[in-house]
Amino acid sequence: MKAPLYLRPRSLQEALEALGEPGARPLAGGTDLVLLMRDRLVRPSLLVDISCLEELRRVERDADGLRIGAACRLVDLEAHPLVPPVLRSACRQVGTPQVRNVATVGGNVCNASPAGDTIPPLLSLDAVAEVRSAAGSRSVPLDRFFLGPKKTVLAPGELVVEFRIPGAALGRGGCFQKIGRRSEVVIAQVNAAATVELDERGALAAVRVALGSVAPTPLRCRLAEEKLTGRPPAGEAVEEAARAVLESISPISDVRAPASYRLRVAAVLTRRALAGALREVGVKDL
Amino acid sequence: MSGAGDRVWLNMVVNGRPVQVSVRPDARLIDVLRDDLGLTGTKEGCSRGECGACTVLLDGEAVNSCLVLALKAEGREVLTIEGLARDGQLHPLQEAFLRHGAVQCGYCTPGMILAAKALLDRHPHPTREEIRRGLSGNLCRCTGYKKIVDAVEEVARGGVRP
Repeated sequence: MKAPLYLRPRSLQEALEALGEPGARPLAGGTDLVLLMRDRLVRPSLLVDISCLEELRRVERDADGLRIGAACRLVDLEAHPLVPPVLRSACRQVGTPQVRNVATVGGNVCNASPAGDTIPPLLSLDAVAEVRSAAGSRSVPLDRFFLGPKKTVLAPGELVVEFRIPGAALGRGGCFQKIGRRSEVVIAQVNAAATVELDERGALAAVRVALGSVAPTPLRCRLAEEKLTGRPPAGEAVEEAARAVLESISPISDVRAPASYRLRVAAVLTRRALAGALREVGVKDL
Repeated sequence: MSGAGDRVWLNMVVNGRPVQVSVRPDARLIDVLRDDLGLTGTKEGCSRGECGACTVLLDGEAVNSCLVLALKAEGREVLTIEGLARDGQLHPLQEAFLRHGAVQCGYCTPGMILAAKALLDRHPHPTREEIRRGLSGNLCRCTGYKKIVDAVEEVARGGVRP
């Protein structure tokens, strides 16, 4: 295989122009891309190394909410005070310390594995991907970003530059759950994230439930959310939501787990994620 | 920028010395360290970033050299296991590993020691749990890990900045 060219652009503009070349791919940490290249699953003719672009590595609050640069490394996000705990927790559980020192949140999202750990938390936070190309820009809510396993809506030449989390989502309680064959290094058999917000009467004003590894893409389980919205957060309601999740998902059997296991565990992780999120907003006993 | 399929120059500092190597753009750091620079202390275990045998320090941070493209090291500092001992004197971590019997086949050892160094550089006095977490990216098939943790803990307790 002919070795691809490698470019380290000095600006986002230069990166976007280079990405306009046919066969060009963005390289962030490379922890997924290098393996895809070695397995010959992708054959880029040009690697555009965006990992050093400062404008893609910021975490900033603004009037609308939080902006997380797509090239932020997982190690930097896992301890960042501005990043919501539900996402910090997921970042901490990707791979190993060595992987987290290199891998980026943008890479984890755009690799679009159904098991990507940062994705359910971002979905539960109503994240929007800001996409740029040499031709312009667009915003894609993350629940419309994934088309299938390893497939996103990104067209050639497009680059996710940051994720925006709306201010309304930042105040919610949240919790991330992941289960695998061991405690580190695993690709999730199932993962889940939930965020909740209570109104003045103590009822659930906002609920988000997102699961990964149980469908062709990570997804929001709206049926489960509907079961809870507007209701007081009692154990029974959470139970109903956990069961409702089963109607939104379609897990497969693969090397990591059989579908039957995933079905059972999806409900368990949903319950735990909701309980954890509710604990954050003061609801201790369900 | 490089010509298609051509080699490119890579300039980096390895174990304190500036080096310049001609590399394929898709070469991994481990390929350059072992094959071009002859630093075979870094081992290739799984080739997928899961075992940590290939761990080196890049600007002081532990990374899997089997996953990092060599060109990403341009202008940066790399520390391999060969760079730990100074003037024939073993590093405290190396001595502790020997003292505690934390080396059996030795294959995981270079990566394990470098991961431990990166941990102690950041957290000079970790708990056993923190040590295990810091080394969670490094697999060992021989020792059962206890002696490795003992060795790292001894260096940490000694307060010797590694």
